[in-house]
Amino acid sequence: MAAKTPKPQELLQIDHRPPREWWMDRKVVFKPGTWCYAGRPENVKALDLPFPREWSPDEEDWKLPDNWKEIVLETFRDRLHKFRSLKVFMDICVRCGACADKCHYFIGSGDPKNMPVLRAELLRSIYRGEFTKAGQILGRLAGGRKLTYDVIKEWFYYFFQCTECRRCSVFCPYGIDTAEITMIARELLLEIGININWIMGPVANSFRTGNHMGLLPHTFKDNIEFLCEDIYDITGIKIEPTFNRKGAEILFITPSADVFAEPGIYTCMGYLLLFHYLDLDYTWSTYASEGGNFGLFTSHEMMKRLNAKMYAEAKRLGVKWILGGECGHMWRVIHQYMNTLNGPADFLEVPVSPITGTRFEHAKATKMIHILEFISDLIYHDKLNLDPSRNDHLVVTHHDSCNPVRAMGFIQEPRHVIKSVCNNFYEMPENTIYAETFCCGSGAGLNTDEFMEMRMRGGLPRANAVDYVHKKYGVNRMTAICAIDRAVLPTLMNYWVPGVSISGVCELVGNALVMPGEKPRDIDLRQEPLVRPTAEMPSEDESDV
Amino acid sequence: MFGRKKGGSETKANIYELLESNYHTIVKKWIDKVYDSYPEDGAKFLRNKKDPFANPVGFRITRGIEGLVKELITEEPSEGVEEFLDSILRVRAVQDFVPGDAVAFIFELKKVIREVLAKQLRDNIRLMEELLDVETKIDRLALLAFDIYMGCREKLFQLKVEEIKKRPFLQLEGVSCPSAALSLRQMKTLREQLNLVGSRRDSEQQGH
Repeated sequence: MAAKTPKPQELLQIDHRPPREWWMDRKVVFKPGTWCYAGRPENVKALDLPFPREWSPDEEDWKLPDNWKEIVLETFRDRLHKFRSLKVFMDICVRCGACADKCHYFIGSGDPKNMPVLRAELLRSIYRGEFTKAGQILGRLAGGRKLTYDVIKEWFYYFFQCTECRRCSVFCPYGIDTAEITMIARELLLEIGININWIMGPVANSFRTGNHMGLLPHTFKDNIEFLCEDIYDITGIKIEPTFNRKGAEILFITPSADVFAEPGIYTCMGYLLLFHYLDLDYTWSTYASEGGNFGLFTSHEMMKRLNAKMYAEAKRLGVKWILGGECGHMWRVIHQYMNTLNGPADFLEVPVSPITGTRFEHAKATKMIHILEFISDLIYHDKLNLDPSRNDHLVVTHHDSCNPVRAMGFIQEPRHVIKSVCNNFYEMPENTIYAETFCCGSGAGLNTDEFMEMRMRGGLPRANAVDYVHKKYGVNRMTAICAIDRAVLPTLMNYWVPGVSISGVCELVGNALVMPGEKPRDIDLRQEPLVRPTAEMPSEDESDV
Repeated sequence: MFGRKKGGSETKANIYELLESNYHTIVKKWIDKVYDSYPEDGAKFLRNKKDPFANPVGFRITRGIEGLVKELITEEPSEGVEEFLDSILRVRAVQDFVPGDAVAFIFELKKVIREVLAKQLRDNIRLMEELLDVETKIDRLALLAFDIYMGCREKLFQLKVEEIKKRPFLQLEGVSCPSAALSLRQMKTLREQLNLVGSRRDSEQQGH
């Protein structure tokens, strides 16, 4: 008998509405652009993580170990025992909905499972169904369900659609931190060999060479020296930084993207100019050559392993304290986890600015301070000769990067610095900045090209606010103190708000800093002319620099 | 593209005047049809959250739909049509829609207008003829919507390629990592290429 073909009347009944079904019944569809490639076996193997193999999320068979279910439940039980916070987060949610519309992925996609409450419910329902009496007996009636292969796939899909930005947690009346729930879910998946290569690659590289890019010491050193050559061309100032120098007062650590990738390299040139200006007794390390820690997106254990390298290097070099560059999640690791993972760093001293004498008491445990609080303190004590007009070609807004702002309350320092080094600064609307800042849409190891559609969805709330200041004030530059931001926001702007470029704050500092003995500056650190790109300004030849 | 054709009885309103007097109803019903294409809980949020920064998708859909209806009933066509379509389609191009579903909302406007003007259209041949004129414009709008949708998709593919090209070590033939690049004394070339890519991208972004 021939296959049933629809009748014309049936064909005319076109309905574009999605089917209505209970969330537990809706299976995940792996559409390109919404998931990341699986970790390559060589990277998984390099980290001694379980079940390295070739597999792909869009295939039916994920080649899981036979006892995957036991492993997941056993690991879940272990984490519930180990982390009191997880147990509390599993039990106390009252589904008030305060977090529901706060996630950038939900706002951009309209997919209910991207609501933080439902994302957490993916895990919570298994907790109830497998570990609580009520859930075991009543099942769905008590919000419980059993762990199945489809649940694992759903977990992978949605927990790798969370950037751990913690915007939702700002609104939760109980203080439930969905980022921590995502972290645990990723740990559970890791135990049965489910992970993504965009995280496994950088982690394996960091483990091997000390940085995400896999740069070996000579490459790292050479590239910084290339940046110094560029600085010489632009300013006439010769800078000779030191590497792995024992006995230096300060160890400087920044994301490796600042050393190697645009537009971070211009931020790096800003660091180099500043340190030279101050004649700071500091050194770079070619081993602790990465501020980022993708271990945070892998497991607590991995975060600890990578974080330990920074402190081991500080100890080896015998420095007094550590200065950290413009990185995002590095600061979450330092501020919230370092002390219990690898601290206290008793072999270091509480950071004291050698220029102003300011003692940074808040860094008593970690012995590490942020470059912008260091600069803010310098500006406060009037120690820098700045010419903000050298940034007059830029109309600037500032994107609060999720981790510094929500994990360490780092709000005013960047603004103090920006306002001191440029004349045109405009804030985005208030419900998109400070603690309510919107994520770039690509954090937590999701900044890969195969995830582009999700990144553009998740980045829409941020881009939408940029679009507003771009149209209203002519903003053409957004600063961000996070290397992932600097890597992904140019793409996001290119799609949503063409005409806005991205940089770190220290790039603007580098432009404005008047170096003793410098040659007349007519170009910025990007080697672009110092003129304001608007119609009413004089032509390039007449421009006053 | 939305040139207005005058005609019909002088004593009764023509289709454009009817559309104008029902502007708000049409906009509301059309927006509802767009929201219906999202899962129920998502649609609830899109409908109810009015802050443009907390609900950018709803904001862009509302702005786009209002603009498109205005364009449809305006005598003189304007460049704004593309901007209003872009406002909606740039979002739908990155959401979970197959191409047909992404642009399908345009045709919903036909249904909306027939529903809203059902009473007036009944037994009125002149209005029915005028309606055909409007529907032809909606068909053209759909084609334009598809162009814009495809433009957004192509932009996405281009962005992916650009990101891959920006990975420095992939720019050199036969070199698998930056360290290998250095050992081959190709770092200079690498940096030159980096600068080229960077300045090209930046000049595109800044329009000079």
